[in-house]
Parts: sequence; C-alpha cells; structure tokens
Amino acid sequence: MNLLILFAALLAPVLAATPATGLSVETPAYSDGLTLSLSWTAPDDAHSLILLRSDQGEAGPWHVAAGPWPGTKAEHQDKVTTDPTKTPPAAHYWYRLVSLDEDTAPPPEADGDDAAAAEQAYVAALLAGQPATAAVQGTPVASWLSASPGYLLLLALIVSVGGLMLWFTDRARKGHEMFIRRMPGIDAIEEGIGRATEMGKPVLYVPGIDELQDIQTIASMLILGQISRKVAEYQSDIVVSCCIPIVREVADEVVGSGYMLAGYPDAYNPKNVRFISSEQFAFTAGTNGIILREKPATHIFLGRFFAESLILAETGYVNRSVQIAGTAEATQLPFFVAACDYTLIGEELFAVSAYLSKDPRLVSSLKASDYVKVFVVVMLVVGTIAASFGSSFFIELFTISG
Amino acid sequence: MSAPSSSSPPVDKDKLERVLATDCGSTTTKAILIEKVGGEWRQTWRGEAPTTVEAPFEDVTRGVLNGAQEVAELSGRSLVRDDGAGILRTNGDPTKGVSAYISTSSAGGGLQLVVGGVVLSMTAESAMRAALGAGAIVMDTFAANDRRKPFEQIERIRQLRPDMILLAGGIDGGTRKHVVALAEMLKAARPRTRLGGGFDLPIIYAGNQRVTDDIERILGEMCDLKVVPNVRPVMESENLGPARDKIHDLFMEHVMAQAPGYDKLMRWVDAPIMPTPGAVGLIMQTIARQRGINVLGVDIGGATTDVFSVFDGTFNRTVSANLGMSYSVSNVLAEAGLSNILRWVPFDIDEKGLRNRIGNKMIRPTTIPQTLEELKIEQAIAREALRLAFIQHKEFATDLKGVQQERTIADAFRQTGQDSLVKMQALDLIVGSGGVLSHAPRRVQSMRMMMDAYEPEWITEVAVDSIFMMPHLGVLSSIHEEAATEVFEKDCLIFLGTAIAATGEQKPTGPALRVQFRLPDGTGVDESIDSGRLRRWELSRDDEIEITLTPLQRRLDVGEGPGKARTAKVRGGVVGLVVDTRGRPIHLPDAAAERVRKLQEWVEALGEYGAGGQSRWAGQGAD
Repeated sequence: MNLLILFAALLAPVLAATPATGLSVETPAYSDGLTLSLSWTAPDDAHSLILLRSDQGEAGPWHVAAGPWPGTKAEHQDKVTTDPTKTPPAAHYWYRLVSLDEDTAPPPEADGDDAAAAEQAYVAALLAGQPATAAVQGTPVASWLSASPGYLLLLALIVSVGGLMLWFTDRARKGHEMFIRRMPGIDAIEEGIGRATEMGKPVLYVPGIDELQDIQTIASMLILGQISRKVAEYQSDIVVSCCIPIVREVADEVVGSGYMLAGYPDAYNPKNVRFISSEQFAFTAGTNGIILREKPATHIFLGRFFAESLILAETGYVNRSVQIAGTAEATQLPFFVAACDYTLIGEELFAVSAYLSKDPRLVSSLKASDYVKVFVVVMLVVGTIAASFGSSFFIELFTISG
Repeated sequence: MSAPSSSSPPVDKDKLERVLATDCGSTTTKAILIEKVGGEWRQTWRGEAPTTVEAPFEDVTRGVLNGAQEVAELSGRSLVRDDGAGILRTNGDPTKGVSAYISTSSAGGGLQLVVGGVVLSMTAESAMRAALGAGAIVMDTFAANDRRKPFEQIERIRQLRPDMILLAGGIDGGTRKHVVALAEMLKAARPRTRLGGGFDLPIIYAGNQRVTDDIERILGEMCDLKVVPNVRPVMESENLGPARDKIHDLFMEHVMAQAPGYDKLMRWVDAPIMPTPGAVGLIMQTIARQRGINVLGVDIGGATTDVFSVFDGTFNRTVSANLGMSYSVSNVLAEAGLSNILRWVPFDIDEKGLRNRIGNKMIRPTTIPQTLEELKIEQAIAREALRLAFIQHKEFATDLKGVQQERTIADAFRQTGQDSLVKMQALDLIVGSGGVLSHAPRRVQSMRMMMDAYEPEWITEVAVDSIFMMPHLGVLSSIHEEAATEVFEKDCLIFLGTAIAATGEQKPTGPALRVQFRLPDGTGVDESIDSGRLRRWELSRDDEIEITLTPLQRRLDVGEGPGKARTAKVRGGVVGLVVDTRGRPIHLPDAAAERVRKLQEWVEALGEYGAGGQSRWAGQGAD
C-alpha cells in the first residue's frame, strides 16, 4: 500500500496526456502462435507509451508487456511467452496502452519476491493516474506455414530430396542403371579380401573408436555387413577390433549376419570380433598387437578416428599390408592418405554401403542427396557472387526467422 | 615367354641357310620358305594346302607335304623326300632340301586349357596369363569366388574335356584350404581328355608349393600330375615361365602325340611344334625386345579375335572368343549394339537391312563381300570387333592385383583404379592380321579400320601381316632370332604408314594442328588442319622425314605437353602419313545425315575406295 501511494504521488503531475486511439490486436500472418500484432494511433502529446497485458480478462490483473517506447510508436509484435515449454501461451490476451509524459518513472527493476508486488503497484498507479486505452482482446493462433523464405527453401529441399529419392528408386526398380562414379578405395576392398584369401591371412577391420550412435560408426557397421558377407563368400576370415563394448556387440551380430547371408553360417567365429579396451591408446596398442602377431593381409579402417589413426596405419604399413581407410574426421585424413593404399575422403565413407550393395534404395538416396549438394554448391557460388556485388537477395533467401 | 624345351637336337643357327616353316591351321596348312639371299634373310616362296587332320586322311603330314610340294614347285627346288617320309634336308647339297624344318599348329581347335586359381583376379588370372601366353585357348576359369557352387563347377568341368588343366592358387606359404578344395573338386569331376581316352589328363600344378604333398595325394593317381613352380610365388610378382614351358612340353607329349599324324610331324621338325598363337606372341616379344618398342598386335578371325601387346617388356595376350567376322559376327552386333556399327557405315542404311546382312554373314560364314556396300558394312563391323576385343585386352592387361600400392597425396583424389598396361601414347607399332585387315582391297582401308578401332595417339606406326607369316616367324625366332626379326621387318609386315593424332580436349571446329615437313622430293609442306579431319600424304617406307607438329589449341598435346610443338622423325608406308584431328575419343555427329557426310569426307580424304567410291579389287598390292 505504501508503494502504491508512492507511485501515485510520482505520477500525479502527468495527468495532462491523452490516450492512444484505435488500438487493435491481430494474429500475424504465418504466426508461430506465440506472437500478436498490435497497432494504434499515437497521441500527439504523449512523451512515451507503455503496453500492459493480461491473460485473465479485461479486468486484469495487468502486467507490463513492453515499453516504455517513444510516444510516436504505432505498432508492436508482442511475444506472449518466451519459453512455451515452461509457460504455455494462454487462449486469449487483453491489452491496454498507457500514455506517459516525460516525468513518468520507468517500470521498477526489482528482483525476487518483491518484483511482482512492485510491478503490480506500478501498474495500479499507472492505471489510476495516466490516460489508457480500453482493453482489447487478441487470440494467438499458430499458422500452418511460415512466410520466411528460409523455411520455405528448407521445405522445398526436403520435398525435393524425398521426390528425387522416390524417382530414383522407381527408375532403379525399372532397371535403369544408376551411375556412381568409381571409387578406387571401395574397389580395392574386394581386392584386399582376395589378397587375404590368397595369402591365407585374415582381414582386419577397425570401425573407429567412437560410440555406436556416431554417424560414422553407424556407416561403418553398414559397410562391415557388406564386407563380412564378401569375406564369407571368399571363405576367408575377418578380425574386427572394437574400442567400445556396445560396438563390439553390434559388430558381432553384423558379421554373423554377413556369414549367414553368404551361406556359410558355420564358418563364422565370434572370437574374431574382439573388444580390446575403451581406453584410446590401450585399444591402439592392442590392435597393433593383432597386426604384428596375426599379420593380417588387409587392413580396413572405416569410422571415426582420432590420434590413433597414424599409429595404426603406420604399423600396418610396416606389416606390408594393403590398407584401406576412410573417415569423415578431416584432421585424421592426412595421416591415412600418407600411410594407406586407398583413402575414402569425408562423405565417400557414407557412399560405400550404396556402392557395394547397389541396393536401389541406398543408391537412390545417394543420388538424391548428391543432387541437393550440387544445388547447394551452386547457390553458394551464386550467393557469394551476388553478395559481392551488393545484392542481399540470396542472404535473405537463406535467412530463417519468424 | 621363353622358348619351349625341345627333345630335338639344338639347331646350329650358323649353319642355317634355308628354313621351311609350316603352320597347320584348322583348314589350311601354310608353308613358307625362308632363305638367306645375298646375306640377308628373306621369305621367298609360299604355298598352301588343305589341312589333313580330319577324315578321310587323318594324317596332318599329308597336308604338310602338299604345302611343301607347292613351295618346291614354285621355287624349283626339291623339298620333300622321294619316299614322302619327311622334309628333305640339305645334307651338303645346296641345290635341294632345307637346313631346318619347323612348324606351328592350331589344327583341331588348338590347345584348349581349363585353368583354376583361388581368386579370379589374382592367382586364377596369373594362371590364365600363363596359359594364354603359351598360345592356349582358355575354355573356362575356376576359382573360389567364381560364384558357382561346387556341383556347378564339377558339372562344367565334366562337359569341357580340355587338353590339360592348369591349377594355381595361393602364394607360396599362403592359403592351403582353398587350393585343396579346388583339387578335391577336380578329383570329384574326373575330367576327361579331348583327343583320346587312352591316357590320363595332364594337370599342371603351379600353386602354393607348400601344398604340393596334398595335391599329389589328391590328384596324383587320377591324372598325369606335373608340379612346376608357383605362377604367383608372392603377391607382388608372377613367375609364368615354368608353367608356360610345361604347357608347351605337354602340348608336344600329350596333345600332339594324340592328334593324327603329329607323332610323325614331331619327328620331322627341328624345333618343338608350337601352338600358333604362342608363336605369334613369341615373335611379337622378340620384335619389341630387339627394337625396344611397344607393340600391339591383333589377329581378327572368323570366330575369335586375338590381341597381343608388349608394353615395357610385359607381354599380354587375350582371346576374345566371341568376336569375329563370320561365325561370331552376330555376337559382335549383340555386344557392340546396332548403333555402334551403324555409326561407321558411310551411307544411309536402315537398321533392318543391316541386321539382315549381318545375319546372312553368320549363316554363310565363308562368303566374302561381293559389292562395295557389303565391303563397307563388313569393315564397319570389323571396327567394332577390333574395338571390343581391344577393350577386353586393356582390362586384362593391368598391373597385378592385391599388391600394396604406393600412392601419393595426388593419387588420393584420382577416381581411376588400376591403370591398364596398354598406354596408347607409348605405343610405337600396331600390327594387324586376319582376313579383313590383311586382305582388304586397299591398304588404306586397313589403316582406317585400325585407326578408328584403336584410336592411336601421338605418333604410331601401323602395319599389317602380309600373308599371316607371324606364326612361322615365331617358331623361327626360337632357333634363329635375328633371322626371324629380319624377315618380319622385310617381308612379313607391310608398313601402312604413320598415324599422327593429338590428345586432349579439342574444340569441334577451327584449326587444330599445324604440320610442317619437307617431302623427299624437296616440296615443303606447312599446313593447318582443322578439327574433325583426316589428312594423308604419300610417303614411302624408305623415306624418313622430320616433321614438326604444333597444336593450334592450347589443350591439345602431341607428346610434349599441352600446346607445345614437337619435332620427330617419321617414316611412311604403302599408305603414307596420316594426320588425324578427329579428337580422342573420335567424335562422330549424332544426326545420321551429318554423320554420313562426315564419314564420306574422311573416306574421300584418304581415298579409301578410289575415285567415285569404286574399289580397286585387284589384289592386295600397295596403293
């Protein structure tokens, strides 16, 4: 009560200002459901304006929604909640606009328990002493579409990828040949398996050292399935060296399935799929031990690698093995390129599965994503040129807002 | 390939003055006389007679004697013994007989082998290379990864009835289980020989030497097992010599001994009888080694096309079993596609008409073209047969697979895999043989066919085998290498000329290449040739000129780098010097009318069919 008296005293001299007129509230086009558009006609004599909002009804209680602004402001986009997961938006909102003169105090900046009381006191004083519009109701409604070009472009890309995939899959099923450029590294995998077969030695496969959920490890597991099937067809052996226990379990299933699909389930030896250690360099030392003791004829390193990459590849080189490596980890690529016979660079790793299996679904997905990449690259080049000449069209095209 | 071991006493090459050589083919036995004339070796006389392996004669020597008798009559010198029991030797009388008699044979289908290895592209391929290099026809290749179940492999081997089997597999100290599995599969199949049931099938084992005991235990009792050193002792290298030599020995001991009359022929010859393609390969290697050049050879027949190459001393031979000009002509159509054949026909023809003509050729394989149109169609088909066989050859002639690579950073971005050993820019000489090339009415037609099919790059000599003398010279090279080389250069080959072509990205129009040289008569030539043209100058084999080639487009390369001029010495031939600015690969217009117009332009530029398109059918002489 003391605070109310204090604010009323402070605001007393400003009673001369007139209220704004024509306050209206609308749901904006392509709204996210959290914003309302307000517009009004600014009064001539107001020094500043302050917007009050209530989610209970036109009788309040009122809270300061925004402001104070200069008295000439005539519109505002009001975000009714900043965190909809914690404070979901209400069904309806009511607004009032209060005109202030230059002596009016700004809203209090109190923290903690006093903040709400201070705000209520301030608002009550405003409504008691300052001219304000009548309460106007607005209803926030989420639109199905956003007008932002960035969103639309994203939508177009998603639809295009889906459409291209369906189209390519359809073509593949009708017998059209899909061209995938040659990747010597992948061609060399079968050659490496053949070498191991001739030499009577196993193939060593290392699926990286990251967790199973890493996309590179997932890609590696898919490739392992294809390779183990091929190894089984050659009636040769494959040793898989794993750094993560769960990866070992999955690799066990994948290799077993590969042997089964090839028609040699009895030839599969689960002891060849080994968990070495979760510690990076203990794993590296253990895998080096396999290389030096069992002398595999071919090493395949596909997955996510870190500092162990060069150690493994160097040991393999000394062992005179054919080595095929692939990782999307850009920092490790130079080491693999230097020490291995063939290296799959970056995204080539994710193309291996489609390349090896020639499965129409995988190949069509690869083709579709390639076309989108081409589109993005073209956009980048054109956008760079446009921006260099001062055009902001492409920047706006890729801006995601609203 | 080394010369095969022989049971005959070695020939003293210093005492050689006159050699009779025969090639016993499936239908014809060709005999030639090679003599020392004025201090140099020349082929002087030639005769031929039907081969007499089949009934009613069933004695190959009858055909040999008939062929030799024809040579004797032409040369006016006695070559056949009065009792008909062999070829007459000089024996101190220089007026009759020969110093040595040698022979090759492909009668009865030649030497037919089945090969086996662990991995198709590794030891099985090495075994195939050994067999092909020995002049064999590889009937089938078995491997652990050939996608056939064991029962299918067994069934196939039972059907084949080869002359012998070459089994490889595993490096020394390598896999045991795969090799043993192959041997057990062979044991289960119990393959039989082609020519006779009276002897065991020869099986040459050229695999992992540590498994020899197992192989002997499994196969020793059911066949005539011969163990030779591994064709692939380590992954990094091959050792084909011992296997090839053993194939030759067994060819003599088993295959030839079983064929009608060959027991007599083997006693007559002074050097082991060689399979015809093996002899051709041997002369190719000899020439490449002696002249220090890279050679590509082709023999296009009715049913098959053999391609030989020697690049940097490495010999490769392939047999395209289904590419030929008569029995296999429909297969050429199937493999190449009608549009690919049609693109070489320099006149309008509907597809149905072309199909019918090709079909007719297949069902009447011994017919030859009777009209100019038929000749042009046959030569269009030949281009595709040559091209397809060459593609197969390039795919086969590669570095060994399964070998550790030393790739640089730049290689990491290369999209090509293993390169073929056949590199057109390094090729020095193309030798063509076979009816469609050797007997083309005009030599320039042979040159065009080979230029279109092989697309030689930079500077390449082109020649044809005049009378398919290469087999004779191949076996001659095993007893007198210099004589064989001399005859090869002087009488066997008809040098057509030199083909010059730039490589690199080429604009379809505008000047492409500037050519500057001085003809032997002193006339200077300085000409800019537009893209898409063929240009020919008369230049004989005896004339060597210095030519300067200047690319007029910055990306064109004639051997010195893009846009850089090159000066080189070249020689001509019966066709002369041909400059080709059609680009590599050769670009042909898509529209039919435009394509025909372009082909006719090329035909006229070289004068392929004479004035007004009339062919000069009179013989095989030079233009």
